[in-house]
Amino acid sequence: MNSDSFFLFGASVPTLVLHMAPFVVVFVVGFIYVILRRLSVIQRMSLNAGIYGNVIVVLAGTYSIVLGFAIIVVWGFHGKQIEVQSKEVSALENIESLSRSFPIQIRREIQDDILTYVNLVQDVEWPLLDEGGQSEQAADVLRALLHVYTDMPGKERYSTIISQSLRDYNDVTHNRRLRIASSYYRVDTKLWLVLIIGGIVIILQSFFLDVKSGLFHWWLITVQTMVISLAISLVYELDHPYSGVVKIEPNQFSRILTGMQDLRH
Amino acid sequence: MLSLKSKSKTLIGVGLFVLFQFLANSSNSDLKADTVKVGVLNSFTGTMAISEPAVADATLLAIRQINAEGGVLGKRIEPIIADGESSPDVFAEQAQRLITEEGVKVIFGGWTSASRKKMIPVFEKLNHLLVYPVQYEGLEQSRNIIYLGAAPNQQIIPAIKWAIDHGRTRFYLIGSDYVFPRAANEIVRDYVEYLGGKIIGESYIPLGHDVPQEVIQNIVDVIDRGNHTDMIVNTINGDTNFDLFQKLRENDVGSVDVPTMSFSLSENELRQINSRAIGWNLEGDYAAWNYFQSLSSEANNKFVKQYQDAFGSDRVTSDPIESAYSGVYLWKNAVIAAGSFEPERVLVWFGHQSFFAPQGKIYIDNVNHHTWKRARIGRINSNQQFEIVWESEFLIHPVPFPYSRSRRSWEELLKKMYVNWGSSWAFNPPALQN
Repeated sequence: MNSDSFFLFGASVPTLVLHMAPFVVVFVVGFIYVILRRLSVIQRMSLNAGIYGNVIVVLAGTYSIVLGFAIIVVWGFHGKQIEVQSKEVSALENIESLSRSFPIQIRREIQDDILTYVNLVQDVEWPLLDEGGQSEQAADVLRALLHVYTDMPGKERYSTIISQSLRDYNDVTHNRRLRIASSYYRVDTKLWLVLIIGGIVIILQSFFLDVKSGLFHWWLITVQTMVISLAISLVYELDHPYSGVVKIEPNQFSRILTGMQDLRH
Repeated sequence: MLSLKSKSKTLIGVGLFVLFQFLANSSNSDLKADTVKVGVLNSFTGTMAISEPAVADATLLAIRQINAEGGVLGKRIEPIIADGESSPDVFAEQAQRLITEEGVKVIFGGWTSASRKKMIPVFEKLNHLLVYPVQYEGLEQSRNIIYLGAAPNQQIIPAIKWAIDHGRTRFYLIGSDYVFPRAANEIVRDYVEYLGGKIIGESYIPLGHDVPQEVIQNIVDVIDRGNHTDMIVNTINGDTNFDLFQKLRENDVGSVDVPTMSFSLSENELRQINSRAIGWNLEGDYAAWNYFQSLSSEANNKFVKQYQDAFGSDRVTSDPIESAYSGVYLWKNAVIAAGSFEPERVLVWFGHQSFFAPQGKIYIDNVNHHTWKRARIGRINSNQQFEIVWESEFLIHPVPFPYSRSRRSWEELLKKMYVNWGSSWAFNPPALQN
């Protein structure tokens, strides 16, 4: 079952966690800050503020590069997924358009295969993508579609249209494979460790900055923590393109159905 | 002492409580009883008694297994068995009785399309559920029926294509005179012509009747024995098959020169033909199904063993038998998904079910309530079993209305048949008319 199926107070659990995160951050940072001030650790650690500041700048700079790199990669990947879907849909539309050149019996068959495929992708396959799954039925319908061309009697009469249709068919299968293969591609565990441990280290280091105003110091740490945690959660969300708050919907597939003439009746 | 007003309020309160309890009990009565009734409706008498009792056995085997595992939603399944007597009218009457008098939650059964078509109005009117296990002619789609057998594009059409691919381009169509063979042969005609073949003759025999000699003579006259280009497409149902093959062999029409492709002849009918200790057999002829007993898989070996352990080592399994068995498990899964035995709710969930059947994984199509399955062609061997000579490389999406004509056109064809047969789904010979 997809995690998005869990709902609490009218919102999905991942969405709820994301909305609650800033409040948790404020509370945790404030709590740690009060403890450290009580123990006078901050005052003692702040004696070598100059050297310490330089170390933090290097650390934070390095971390920012890594975090920025992760965001760019997953963002690009997310965009690529949308592009792949768009190419798959366009190829299906081309197949449907070209089918209008065939006799009605073949046209009905092609249309029915496309219709069945689109329905299966939207209703069955899409919820499975987040777990790297796919619909075997959708794959079987695509194979059946190929047989329409290979088994067509008198196909030499339509050779040009069949050639173009087969090129589009290959585009559909290629982009479908990309969509499925990339659905279970995830950011490497080592990179996650760098992002999370690095983030914690940067946040902890900032507790020991020499800031006169306690309230302002607390505010700086809170904002920094929020920015880092939001950036990490953004990486997580973009890394799961078929679930969560920024998930890709199969809306483009519906476009095919709207332009299709109903030949069954 | 309570005032009159207070007494009235108390009485109304008690009354409402009793009413709520009654309503609650009646709505949950299914869940409170220890058993749930299901109907098993097949022909145990008449011409179809050659085929249908074995299907009922498979249904009962699955029910027995499910009960042994604890039942469904904590209830044992209680089968109520009814005889359709090979008569469409009796099937409709029994379906009505099972639903309204026995209170069954589903009916497993039916075989001929004539009987199924007579039952459809009953199921649609009562919004009930029929799980139908046999391949059929298609041209139909009812929300209240789960079609476990092959649609035309999963049996008839692949078989014709396979035959033409193997050089058989001239076809003689012979069938029983009712809706399945007539409609199936219309589909065969469309596809033979589409693929460049030719229909060389067509004959129909009333259900349960012997094949007239003139039909055999007609076949003998038109077939070309020498060129290996002819094939007989057989859609005869019931024990007329015995008579057909006997007369074909007597007239020297054999499987080497002019093989037969049958659409309703399975291992079960072969066993019964063979048991008559005759001097001929059907070796070399073909049949198209989705399942054969000879299918090599662990799941199928287990199923065959269970069936033979239950009903005798001389018994065989067949496509309708396997479908009937799988149908009970699919229903069970749909009931569990729905959390209810009510047909209306089970129907909603049936379209989402899949099952690892003896033939392999099958799915119920959510749109048309037919089953996704592989097509297979078998050649009869000397053991009266099928050697699988071809199977589709993928599960075939069921298409009840073949693409060669529009849905309206197919429906008009059926309507015409029904009217021509005097509001019946089978030809009723004058001698049998009341």
